[in-house]
Order: sequence, then C-alpha cells, then structure tokens
Amino acid sequence: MSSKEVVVDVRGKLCPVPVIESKKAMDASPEAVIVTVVDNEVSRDNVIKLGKSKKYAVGIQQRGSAYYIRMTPPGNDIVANQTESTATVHEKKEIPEVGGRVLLMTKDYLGEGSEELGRSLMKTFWFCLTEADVKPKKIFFINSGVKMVAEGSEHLENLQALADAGVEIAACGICLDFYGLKESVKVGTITNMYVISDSMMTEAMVTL
Amino acid sequence: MVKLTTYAAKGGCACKIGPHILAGVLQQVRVPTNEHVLVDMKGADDAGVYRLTDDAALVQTLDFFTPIVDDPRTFGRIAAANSVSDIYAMGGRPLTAMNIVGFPVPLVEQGVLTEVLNGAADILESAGIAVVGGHSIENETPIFGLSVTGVIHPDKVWKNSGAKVGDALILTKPIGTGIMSTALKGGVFENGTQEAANSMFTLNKAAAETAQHFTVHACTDVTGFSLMGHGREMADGSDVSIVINTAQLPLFTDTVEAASMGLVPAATYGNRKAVSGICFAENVDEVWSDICFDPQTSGGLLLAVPPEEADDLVKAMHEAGVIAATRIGEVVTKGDCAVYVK
Repeated sequence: MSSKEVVVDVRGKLCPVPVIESKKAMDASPEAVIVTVVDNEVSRDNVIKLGKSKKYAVGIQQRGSAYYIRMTPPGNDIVANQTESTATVHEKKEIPEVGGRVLLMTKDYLGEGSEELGRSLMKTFWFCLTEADVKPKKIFFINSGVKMVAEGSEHLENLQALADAGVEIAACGICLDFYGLKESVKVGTITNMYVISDSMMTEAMVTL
Repeated sequence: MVKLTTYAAKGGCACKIGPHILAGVLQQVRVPTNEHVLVDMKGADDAGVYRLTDDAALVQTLDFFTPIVDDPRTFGRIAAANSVSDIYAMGGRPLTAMNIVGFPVPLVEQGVLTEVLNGAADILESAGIAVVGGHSIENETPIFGLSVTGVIHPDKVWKNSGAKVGDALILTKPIGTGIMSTALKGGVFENGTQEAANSMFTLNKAAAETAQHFTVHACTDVTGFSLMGHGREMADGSDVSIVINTAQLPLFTDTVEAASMGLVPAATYGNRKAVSGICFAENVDEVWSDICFDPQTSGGLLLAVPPEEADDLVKAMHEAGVIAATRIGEVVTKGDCAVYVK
C-alpha cells in the first residue's frame, strides 16, 4: 500500500478549478492520498462531492479560512485508518486559527549578528506568519520592537493582516514613550508591563 | 482563438445577484405604476405587461449576462434566445429587440462583438424579430443581452400564478445548463456541454406557439433561480403546492455524473440558501438537490395545464420539434412545503 500524498492547493481559484485539479491528481496518482486545499465553502463542498463520487474516504479539516480535504482512495487501508475524520460537511472539525503561543518582540530586527540582515529577516518573518495556518495568539512589543507598530514602519501591512486574522497585538507603553511614538501607533493597542509579565508566567511565550 | 468564458469574472458560475440580496433592495425601492399596468414586478413574473387598448397590450423584458460559452457566435445566440424567452413565457409575440452591450475594446477590435451580434441576429431573424437599436459601453467584462418588446392580448396573459390543483406540470427543455457550463470550463463532458449549448440557443417559440392551442393555467420560464425557485414562485402565486418527479426530469447527457463529481456552480448553493419550502423525499439521492437548484440559462417553459390535455400537449410539442417536452409533476393542494421533490 502506498502512503504517497499529493497536495492540490487551489486557494484563490473559483469553481470548477478545484474539482478539475483534484480529479487530475486522482487520475495521475490513483494510489495516492489527495489533500486538496480550498478557501471557500462552495469549492469545499464540490471537492467533497468529487471524493465521494470516486469512492474515496473523505476527511475535512478547517484551519483558519482554509479547508483541507483529505481523500483516501478505496483499498488504501493503512492511510484510511489514519484519516482523522470522515465527517460530512455539516460536522466540520473546528481547529482554531490562532494557536496558543505568545510572541515577545524585544527589538526591531530578528536574531543576533548583522542588524541589516536582521531587519530584512524580520520582514520575511511577518510575511511568513501572515501566510501560516497556525498563528500566534498575541504579539507583545517591547523596547525598540515598538517601532514596528508605529507610523513609518515597513511592517504595518503584515501586522495589520495578523491583527485582522484575530491576533492580539500590543506594544509596551513606556517603550513607546521613550521613543516618542505613543501618538503614532498604527496597529494594535498599548499595553503595560503587568500584562506582559503576567503573560510570561502563564502562557507559552516565544521571545525574539 | 478567444476563449470568452475566461473573461467572466464569476468563473462562469452564474453572475446573478442572489435573490435574497436583491429582495432586500427591492423592498426599499418605489415602483411607479398606473392603471394600465397589468403585470409588474410584484408577482415575480417574467415580463411586464402594459395595456394599450382593450385587445392589445405591450409585453416587455430585458436580460443580459457575462459569457457562459467560449464561442462568440454561440454566446450571441444564447443571449438572444434567453432574452426573448420571457415574452414567450407570458404567452406574447415578440416584435422588436435592442442590443445591450458592454465590451472591452480589444475584443471588439478582434471582431468578437461582431460575431456576438450576428449570433443574436441568427436567432432573432428566425423568430421574425426586428432589431431596432441598442447601446454599448466599454466594459472590462464582456456583457451582452437584449431588451425585447412584444404584443399580447390583455385577457390572454400567462402568469405564473394560475395553477390549479390537479394540473399537470410540463417542462419543455432539459435541466442542467449550470452544471454543464461548469463542466465546459473544466473541459469535461463534451456531449452534455454541446447539448446544453444547443438547448440554450433554442427559442421557446415552438413550445409557446404549440401551447397557445391548449388551456394554460400558469406558465413561467425556468432560468437563474432554478426549477425550485421558479417552481416555488408558481406554487406561491397560485396558492398551491407542486410535486416534481425526479425520475421524469429531462436532463442533458451525464448531468447526474457531472453533478455527483462536484461540477456545481456557486449559484446553486445560493439558490438552495435563498429558496425555502422545498422538501425532498427521503429516498431521493442528494445529487438531485444540485440538479433541482441548478441555475438555468435560457431554460424551458414550465406550464401548468389541465391533466386531461397534458399528454396531447406533450405529443403536439414533440411534433413541433420540442423533443424534450415532458410531464414532470403535478399541482396539489397547498401543504407544508411549496415544492415536493420525489
């Protein structure tokens, strides 16, 4: 039995592309588990119909705005047993988009070494987070980190996207004062060290 | 060659504004009227009817949409057949048409619009309809359709609200143009998509003219809101319920298979959400829901006629070339559901 997996990522595509691309993958690799990723309910339901009509075992997971439809071909027992859910459309599994982690950003560049490199890495980091399926729960900004949420920051767009996706963004008040940025905050809210230290003790924090 | 459907932003999955959204707008809009208006927007009828004299009334309609097929001439033909259909559905005789055009200039320069307009002319000519004007604007997405005017006797208007308990329901074209248009985009089910294209540019003229010789209690054409949407309008308007027999429904080749594998346009989901009061019998496979809520483009007529005339009417339609005409159900006393599907 093959446990080969073929991922068909058709997010951003309208019907009938998700169905047609999934069917092509099935035809090309009849033994493989097909995982089709879509971002709307119509495509989700249509791909489920395809899987069922081809007698595949169909499992659905929701991660954020994306639906992962895992289709295991008939006879592929090993993988079929691993299928997490054969739920129908109406019993979709809820996996929260926001993961449990809290990020503490202590400066406006990423890592040690070259600051120039660190600034460029930071940009990539935020972009990757906006694309990630599991996002942090909160992001706190202290010291020069607060510059990233203030006017003129090159990260505003990505941070706003994270905020829109439900991530709580908050910058340390004294830090903003120190840099004279309290009036220039463009994303998220202003917080204090009580909140941050409490989170440090009680939540899964990653310091960067 | 230009592939027209690639220009349709909605992915060919029916470009109508959802009925539930539209209803919210129309509730807040004033509709000027006077005593000469015989049929207006309120009854969800297909066209407006305006009395001129005791034996003549104007019947008016318009329709336009984005490309649903790739070939420009075929698109023109379908748009014309679709626009004229509402006149036939009211029992009227279409006289004149005007073109409604929104097109990107590069496509116009490639001769695409010329083909579309000639395609429309093919159909209008065969129906004896004169083109008397039109209007065009530059538009990123191609849109085309027609405004059509006809005449009708004020006492012989076929409304969608006159169906009587015991009536037989007759449908004159196969169901499944939405599913097949979706299949076309995916490049699959060649036979069914070709049949659907042919059906979409076939006028409802022969069907309507044949029915003129019979008793018609209610009539509508089955279009974007699907067999269920238009069936429900007829049931509600007539204060009855209707029963649809899936085993009798005329379909394009492979429609069931295409729907089963998920070639279902987004508008089907919209119709299912918007149209309530539809009950499927437990033994009906769920694929029939996707077929019954499938948005039709240039669909057939749905007629409610006395049961004793039904078989003769179907036979007469077959003789007139309306080969898909089928008795698909009946009208029953109003029950808990507007439409029963079995």
